[in-house]
Amino acid sequence: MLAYILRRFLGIALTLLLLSIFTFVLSRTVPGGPWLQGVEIPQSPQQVAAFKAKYGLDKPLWQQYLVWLRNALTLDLGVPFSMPEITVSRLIGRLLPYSALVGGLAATLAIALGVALGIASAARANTWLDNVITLYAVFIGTIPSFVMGFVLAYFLAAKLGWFPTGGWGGPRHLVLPVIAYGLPVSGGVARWTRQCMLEAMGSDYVRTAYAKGVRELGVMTRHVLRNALIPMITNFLPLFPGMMTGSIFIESVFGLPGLGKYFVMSSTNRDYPMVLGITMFWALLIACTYLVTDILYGIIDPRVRIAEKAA
Amino acid sequence: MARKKVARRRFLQLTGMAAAGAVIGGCAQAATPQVVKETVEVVVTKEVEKVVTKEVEKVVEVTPAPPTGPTNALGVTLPADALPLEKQYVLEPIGEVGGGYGHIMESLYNRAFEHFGGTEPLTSLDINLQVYPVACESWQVSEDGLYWDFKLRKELVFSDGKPITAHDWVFTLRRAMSSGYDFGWFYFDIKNAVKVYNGELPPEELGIEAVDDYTLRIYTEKPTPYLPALGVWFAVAPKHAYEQYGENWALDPQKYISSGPFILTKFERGVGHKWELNPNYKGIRRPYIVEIREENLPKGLPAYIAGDIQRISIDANSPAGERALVNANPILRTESHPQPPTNTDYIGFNTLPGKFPPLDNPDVRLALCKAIDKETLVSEIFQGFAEPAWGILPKGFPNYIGEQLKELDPNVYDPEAARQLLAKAGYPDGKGFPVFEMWIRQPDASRMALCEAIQARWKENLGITVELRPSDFQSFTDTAFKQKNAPIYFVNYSLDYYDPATFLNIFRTGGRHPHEDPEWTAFYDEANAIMDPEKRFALLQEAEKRLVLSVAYYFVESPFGIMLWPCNLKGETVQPNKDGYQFYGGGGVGCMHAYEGMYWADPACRAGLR
Amino acid sequence: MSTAVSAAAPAVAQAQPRYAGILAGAWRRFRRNKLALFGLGYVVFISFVAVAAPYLTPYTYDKINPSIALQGPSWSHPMGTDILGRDMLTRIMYAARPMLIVGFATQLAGLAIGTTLGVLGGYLGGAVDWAVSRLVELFSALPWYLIVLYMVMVLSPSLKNLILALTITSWVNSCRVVRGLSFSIRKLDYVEAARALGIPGWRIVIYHVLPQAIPLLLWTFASGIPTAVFAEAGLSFLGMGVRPPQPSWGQMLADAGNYWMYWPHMFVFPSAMITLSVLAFQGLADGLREAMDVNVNI
Repeated sequence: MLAYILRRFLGIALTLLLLSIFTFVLSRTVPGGPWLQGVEIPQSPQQVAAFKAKYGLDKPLWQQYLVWLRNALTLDLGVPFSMPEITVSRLIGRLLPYSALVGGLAATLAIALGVALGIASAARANTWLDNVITLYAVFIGTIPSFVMGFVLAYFLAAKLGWFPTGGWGGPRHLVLPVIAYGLPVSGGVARWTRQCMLEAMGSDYVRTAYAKGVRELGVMTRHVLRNALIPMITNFLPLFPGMMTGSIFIESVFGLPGLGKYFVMSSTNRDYPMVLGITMFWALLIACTYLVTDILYGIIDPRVRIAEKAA
Repeated sequence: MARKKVARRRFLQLTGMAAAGAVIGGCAQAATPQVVKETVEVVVTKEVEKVVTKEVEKVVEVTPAPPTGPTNALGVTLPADALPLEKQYVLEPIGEVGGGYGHIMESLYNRAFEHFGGTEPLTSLDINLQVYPVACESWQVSEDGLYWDFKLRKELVFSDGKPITAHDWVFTLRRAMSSGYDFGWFYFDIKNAVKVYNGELPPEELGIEAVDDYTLRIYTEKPTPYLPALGVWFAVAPKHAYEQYGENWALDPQKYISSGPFILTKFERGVGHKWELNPNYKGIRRPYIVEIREENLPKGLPAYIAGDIQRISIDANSPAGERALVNANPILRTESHPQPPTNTDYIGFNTLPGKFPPLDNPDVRLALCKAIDKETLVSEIFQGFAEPAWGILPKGFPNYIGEQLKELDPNVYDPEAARQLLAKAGYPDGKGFPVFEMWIRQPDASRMALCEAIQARWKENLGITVELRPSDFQSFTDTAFKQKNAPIYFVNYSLDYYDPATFLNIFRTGGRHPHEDPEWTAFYDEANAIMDPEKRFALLQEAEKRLVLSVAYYFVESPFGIMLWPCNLKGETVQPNKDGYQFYGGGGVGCMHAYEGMYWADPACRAGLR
Repeated sequence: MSTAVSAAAPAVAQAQPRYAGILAGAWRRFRRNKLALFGLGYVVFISFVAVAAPYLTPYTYDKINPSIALQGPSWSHPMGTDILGRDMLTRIMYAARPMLIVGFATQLAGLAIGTTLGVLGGYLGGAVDWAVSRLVELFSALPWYLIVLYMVMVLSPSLKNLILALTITSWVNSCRVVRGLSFSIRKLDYVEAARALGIPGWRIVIYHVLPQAIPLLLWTFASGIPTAVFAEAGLSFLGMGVRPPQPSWGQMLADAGNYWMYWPHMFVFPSAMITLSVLAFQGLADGLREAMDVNVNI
């Protein structure tokens, strides 16, 4: 097991290395550059040259990369062009807790609600309940975010005054963003759960269990759910890193601090250290999630043995 | 750029649906401020009962109102109807990315955006959009018009007690112009500015000097009648801060040295910043407000109604339902303040010889212009939140001559004449005309719709196909302005100060556009350097006409908006100006202020808003 | 899931000699599912509309007429008109084309790549799985926004590049699902038995592994539609999406952002089309799952 995890970490390191080279080259090849951000009248070549010299962008690309790599190995991801007083690592460290709280709650809401609805839907397949849940699940995922954001903020906050429309504060501030973030995802979770449950319910051992007189609840939880778990985990676990790194839409509409905006803005602003730093951070997160998924496969399904996979 | 960005952002916030107050039903027509005012009166009387009942409990808690209001840390006594000091704060959205709250004259992203709380500008704009001295007492131009002397206020000090002298001002501009300040071109009228900016001359050669400790002299390349207006963005930086703390002193409350009425007391990147009154401030901008809180703020009308944000702009890109809500709510209508247009969208053609034939043929460009019925398109698409533009200057701007420009050939919609021009150029019914791309810089929904409409008009009136190429800011700037590889582009420019030069300067050859016209540039430069205002304005009108007639550009529309802020915001700077406009923030729109002259009074007028 | 497999497998194995009978049975089961039938009907219908759009409407998708902008539904414009006075129904019909082309191409390419790699990794295990896992990790973490900016500027916008941009991410999910399934399947008794009988690996994959994955994959395909539609709309602002004036549902929905509260038809119809499409494709997927899985008897 330990050897397996070690091997996986070696793999992750290789992935990160390849990804960093790819991202590094790509970010420097995209037209434009940090010096053009917000510029109405492009600078003269001398100006651009001076800028490049100041930030070490005038050296050959491979040299710049090696410098970056050397620093990255000590967790120093550089200083964002747009935020000279802070390092990329410290910025991520500062903003991640906000995003993680909102996104974590939203993912939990989405999965709890979605799995509950999905199980109900599967247990009563092709009844009116199933149809209602299906309609909800599909529709909630196609509601444009601007409609969802406005409806929540207008009725629950502006009209009824139950919650603030946004900003960072107590738990009440979290309610609307978590709903707006989690609800659309719950639809997909419900549909996927239903699908996986139905697959599992069609099997002989479920019929056997029923025949033995096991109650429905028992069958559903002990036999069906357990066997539906692998595809569910495959799909649901990455929701956590995905949502806990924030969303530009949720942060902007509800006025929350967070990382989500930087995934987009660092690219449009051509903020090279930010682009690289945030990509590396995300890659590490997602790779670890996949590792956990694979380990969970083995725990849930004894047939899948980690040791053997590693072999 | 800093300003650009500020101006644009502000603008986007302020701009928008001037019509909100007046849009009744679905058919939005531009609202006149008067209309808004009339409805207001009715509204207030309607709401009085609600107000009273709701506010009773609150009034009880508060101790009896003193004859005059409280006095803040700057020694300013607030008017009698002001709320207590702890309520006297301003909420501003934190910059989304970049836009650190450093010094305004810093290069790249590292600079203040939203206000001049911590820095003192040389001049500023009052609510009538007139330039007035801030850090100086007065200015005087030399006989030959080639240099200006600014008499600085002797009492001004930095927050650490050190006096602000002419040497600090000289240091600030020299440093900015020689260290890659991306807004440097704004100062190109100053002597040797171009060469210093490009590193061809040392900073000491820049045309700025301290005659004595309190006299700042600025030399210009040519007579520059609008020079004091450039001072609205020229803010002093403490030389000793750079020496003591290095470049990033302005991003750390421990190191911040303020020259303005506020000082940075909290700076947590991406989370929040706070500015409090700088008790050492001796200047003339003396706010009632005691605190500026920059936070992540929610967006949208619901947040405004809930009181979670203090201002909102409604414009052509605001959801129509929000406009309807504003319109239906009497309190929101009283809180609506139409803003003047401050920017213009235009189409530019790449006329560089041989680059994109036949766009170098003026007849072809004229045909393209005459095939667009912009008056109809703009009014339909912008729903009353834009004026059709006939030249670069937006309606209401000093020296605006839209009525004359409207008659010029490129501005006259005439599909038949357009077809003939195109046929004459060798493309009857558009046959054989190359497929060009029109690059569009970061379009919002209205601008995208407008471009689609123009595309459709070209297709049906001329039989030619133009592909639309919406693009992110950087890709656009790189392609259209740097590489000059965009055949046609749709872009926007917004003002930095209230003189026609703010717009006309960018059309000089060697600026950003892929069009060369040394003749026009020479004519314009000469006109621009005339010190006699009347004569200068007359010739600048001629220059704008020639610009339109060059058909290198086609001016489309100037969007504007309606700004809402709570009715209990009072004070001299939020009063209507001579033209009936009201501005938020402490002075005229288009430059930065420190929220001077505004305070929060009793919110009774907002009762029943929900 | 995995145990379901063990039950289903012998049936499939036995079934091979009488394939026709299986298909007939599948169709019988498929027919019983109303949602599946609706899905099939819808897919046929929308494909017909997309192809025949020019013959079904008197309007064109790009002719503007500002004087009738933002009209609600009427007899002459059953879905109303948009901000430029274009007929919404016509645009909805034409927009079915990019939906089908981009949706199918993206998802099919994603499925093909993802399934192949997933099966290889999950079934063969060892070094192959290791390599596949690295690829999945790599592609999950690619700076997508940057790639799009690059593609739109350097390769220039086109339908092909749009599909490419969307495929970069779409294959990863299928790959992970199939890989997860393959893990459990290859240890099952009947697969081991098949192997013991000397049946070659590729046959086992095609006859035993893939059939188990198809329903879930179809389903992934169906639920990928809104993602693709919204992603396309997001890309249009970078110049990468379907090029205006050609309509797409995602862009129509995005355009409705300004108008939906006041002119609901701008939002209702594109939104309804997306919902319907997802329902239909998912219904189809459900139907196929039931049709193919002999153990489901409703």
